[in-house]
Amino acid sequence: MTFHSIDIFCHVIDNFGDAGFVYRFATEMKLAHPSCRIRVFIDNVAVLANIDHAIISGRFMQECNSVLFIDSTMLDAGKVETLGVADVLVEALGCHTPECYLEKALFACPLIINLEYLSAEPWIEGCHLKESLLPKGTAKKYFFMPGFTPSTGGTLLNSRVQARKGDIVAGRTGFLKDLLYRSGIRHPVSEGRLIGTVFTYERGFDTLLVDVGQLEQEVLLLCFGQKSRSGMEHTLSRLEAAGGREPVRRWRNASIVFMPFITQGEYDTLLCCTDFNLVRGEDSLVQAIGAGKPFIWNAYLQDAKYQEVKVEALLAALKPCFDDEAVFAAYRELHLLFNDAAVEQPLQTTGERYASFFRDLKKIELAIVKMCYFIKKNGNLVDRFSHFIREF
Amino acid sequence: MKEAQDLRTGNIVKMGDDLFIILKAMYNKGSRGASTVRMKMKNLTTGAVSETVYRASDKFDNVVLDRRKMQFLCQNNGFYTFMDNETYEQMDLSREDLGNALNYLKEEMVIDVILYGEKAVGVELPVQVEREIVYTEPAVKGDTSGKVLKTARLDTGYEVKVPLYCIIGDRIRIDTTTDEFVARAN
Repeated sequence: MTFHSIDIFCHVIDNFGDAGFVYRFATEMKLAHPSCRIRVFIDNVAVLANIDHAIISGRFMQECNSVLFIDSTMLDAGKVETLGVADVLVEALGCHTPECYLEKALFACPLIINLEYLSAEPWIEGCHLKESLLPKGTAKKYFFMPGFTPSTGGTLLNSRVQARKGDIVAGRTGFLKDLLYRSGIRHPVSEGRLIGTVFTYERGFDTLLVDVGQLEQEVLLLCFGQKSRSGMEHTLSRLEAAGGREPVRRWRNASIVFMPFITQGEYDTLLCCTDFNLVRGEDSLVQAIGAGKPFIWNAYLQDAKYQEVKVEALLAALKPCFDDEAVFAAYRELHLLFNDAAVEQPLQTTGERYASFFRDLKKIELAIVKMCYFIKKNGNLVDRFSHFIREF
Repeated sequence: MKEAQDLRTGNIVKMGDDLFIILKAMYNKGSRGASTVRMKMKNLTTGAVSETVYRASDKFDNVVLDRRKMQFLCQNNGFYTFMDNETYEQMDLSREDLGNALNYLKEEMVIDVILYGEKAVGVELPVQVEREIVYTEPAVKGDTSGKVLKTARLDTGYEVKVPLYCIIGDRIRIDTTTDEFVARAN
């Protein structure tokens, strides 16, 4: 079908992942289809304001990057009547569309798509593009499952960063200096330092800092978000590391910089400018692979440590990219231990060790570069999504 | 109302004016509680079978049709024969009608047969069934945590994941909604 408008609904559960993914999806769809009207209905605009500083919390409707952002908590039947519905309704990440919109959409929207979280688990192939029968109305509803294989919905990368990646990597020192300067942080970013980002859920970093302390070179850790900061502060306290002054703390050969929240575009760029990244959630995972740099993924903690299943599935997808089995085995063990935390005790320090990770950085980087090649080859989410609508 | 995650083989749901029987339901855990249920369901009016996906929290109008306790007698040419032990009346169901129930169905098993009018349209499995392990690899010494799982073949031929401490001959209870091991029964 020909489509001229897409409405995307998003419910922010916690953190920044849901809003970040939807923001990325909307802006990438707009880039691919400039003449299509794209609106995002979100129930927590304040979270979006962190991701793009041009977005202002408290407004019912505002335009940013040619996408309309609407506060769905202010939506009612009257406003829906005025705004109308779109050709395609996207319920992102399990979001339930408000009744006042859904009642109209069931009869006026030809297509409703439930856009799910990315997963490397095999079962998603069986759910991708399967219909979900609706009890009433004329609309048809389908599930769209992002994933790493050709039989899934593919992955959503920052296309602008991917297009300029060569230049970004070549100019990494300049970008890092500028980022720190704009963040009001005075700290040298000389060549020869090992630079990493830390953006995780609640956890401890005791073994990370101990193993970083064994390295011979200077290390710069750029720490993002309240959860990483809290975990890092607990760790520094346990290690009795008193060096440095806020926002830069010092532990042996490492400087830990507590960074302010930066925009999504800056973060995506930064991932390409480092030597390694600790990332959290599905969207950052995809950008970390796209950056082609060694990473450790912190999966969202779930009951009964179900995150371990998600991590194992990711590792199974990564395995063919590793040439050296011993390197993969050590990388796998690190990942599993890193994610071996329970929802009830997230601040615990898990038993992972990082010596092999730092020793094997170059080999892991090669594997991630290969994975980046494969996810690009296996499917761009925007292309697949657009193709499905056109074929509908 | 029933949520998709609570539906299992043999349940009847109403969608619009049509009744559907659930032939297969497979629960998949997603991130942040956004889990999905993949289902195979048959429209009882048209006979059309659909492969569908729902969010685990999607709600359905469930309908209770008449049912009879019947004993599974035998399978012949793709049809499965059940008998009412009081009236000796027999009814046949196809492989497709039985859906996931086939994984746990054994001769002499007494099970609820669902009736739509006078016609048998499916069976409803109990939430848990007890089955015997006929083959599984021996346990690895030292790991008794129950966290690591291995494959076990049941006396119906179906394979499920069980903890490492399970051995051949064990009778185990299985959740028929998720195919997950619940406990040892012996």
